[in-house]
Amino acid sequence: MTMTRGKYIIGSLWGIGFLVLFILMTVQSVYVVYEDRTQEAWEWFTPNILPTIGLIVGIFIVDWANPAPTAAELSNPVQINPLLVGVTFIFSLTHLAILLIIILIAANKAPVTEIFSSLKSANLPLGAIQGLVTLTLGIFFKKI
Amino acid sequence: MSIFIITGCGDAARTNTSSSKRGNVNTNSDFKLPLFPFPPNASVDYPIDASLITNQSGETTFGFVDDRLKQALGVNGYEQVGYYAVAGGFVMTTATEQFESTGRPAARNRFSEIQSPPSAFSVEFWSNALKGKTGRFRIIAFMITNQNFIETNETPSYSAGRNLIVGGAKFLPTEMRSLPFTGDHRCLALIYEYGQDRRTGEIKYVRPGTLAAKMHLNSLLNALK
Repeated sequence: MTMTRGKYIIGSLWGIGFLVLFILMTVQSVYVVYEDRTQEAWEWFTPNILPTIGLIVGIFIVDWANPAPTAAELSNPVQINPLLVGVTFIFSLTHLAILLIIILIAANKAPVTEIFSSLKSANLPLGAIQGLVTLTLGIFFKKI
Repeated sequence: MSIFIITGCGDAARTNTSSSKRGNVNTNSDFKLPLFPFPPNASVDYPIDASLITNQSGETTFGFVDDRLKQALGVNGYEQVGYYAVAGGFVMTTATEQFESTGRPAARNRFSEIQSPPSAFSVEFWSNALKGKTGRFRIIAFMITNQNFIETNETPSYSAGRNLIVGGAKFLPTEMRSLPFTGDHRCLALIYEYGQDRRTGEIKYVRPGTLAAKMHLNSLLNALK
């Protein structure tokens, strides 16, 4: 598999995941799901997604800013082990899915104190999976 | 319960007593029903069509009405009811239950105060996911009376509402079952709605209710038809 294709697969997953979660959090904020603790909810959400999506967006910007590849580069593109892409994809999907499920379940609780205890209880599994995601993404993008 | 004003007259009201012995077994035929808080001051109420609860082929008694209502309640999962006396009739109450925004009973922990998320395959779950969950509780009571009344602004606390099922008699007394349900009698469904404050968690009385009475009673009315 070419590196470009691998990057687009992982980038698309994170892009779609980020958009879904961001829109969900925005709608919840508009409906005052978190009452007077909306800022606290965003403070919980952003560290769980922003570092990774920031890294990915940064890589794409660097790619687009670079001059167009030469004919030699096009004929002999950088290759990546598909297994690495697969593992990164699975870890990323798991992280995004946990994030989505926690936000959905927490919003189904009342009162607000219960919502935040649910969100905070997810920090441990999210922290663990985020470590794995960062590790695989680091290896993945180091190969550029 | 101190906020309730008791008024009453008529045959059925004579069965009322303030000295009913709660927790005691009473095998006497002169068993007295405890008094129902009056006026009811429910969140919403709905007059039940008399044709749904009367005997179409003979005389209708309180016992017949009781059986009809109990049957409809039983079909809808209400296993526990409490009986109270009221001027000119009686009141049957259900236990406190959680309900959904559509008026349907909560699928999980219905008769508990523990709030579980609804099934992920329900509309309620996705509605809550976007708008947040509000704890909703209700008590449904059926008041059979031939007396008119005017409501007041006094409202029952959550504990008073919750205690309605504990404080009521288990059965309609035999002497009341034989009383006739006349053309002057009405059956009024009373819905006492309580909502949980999302910020503090406190459960407060909601009046007027957030739903129309018919939405609360939809499945019960279908069972009566």
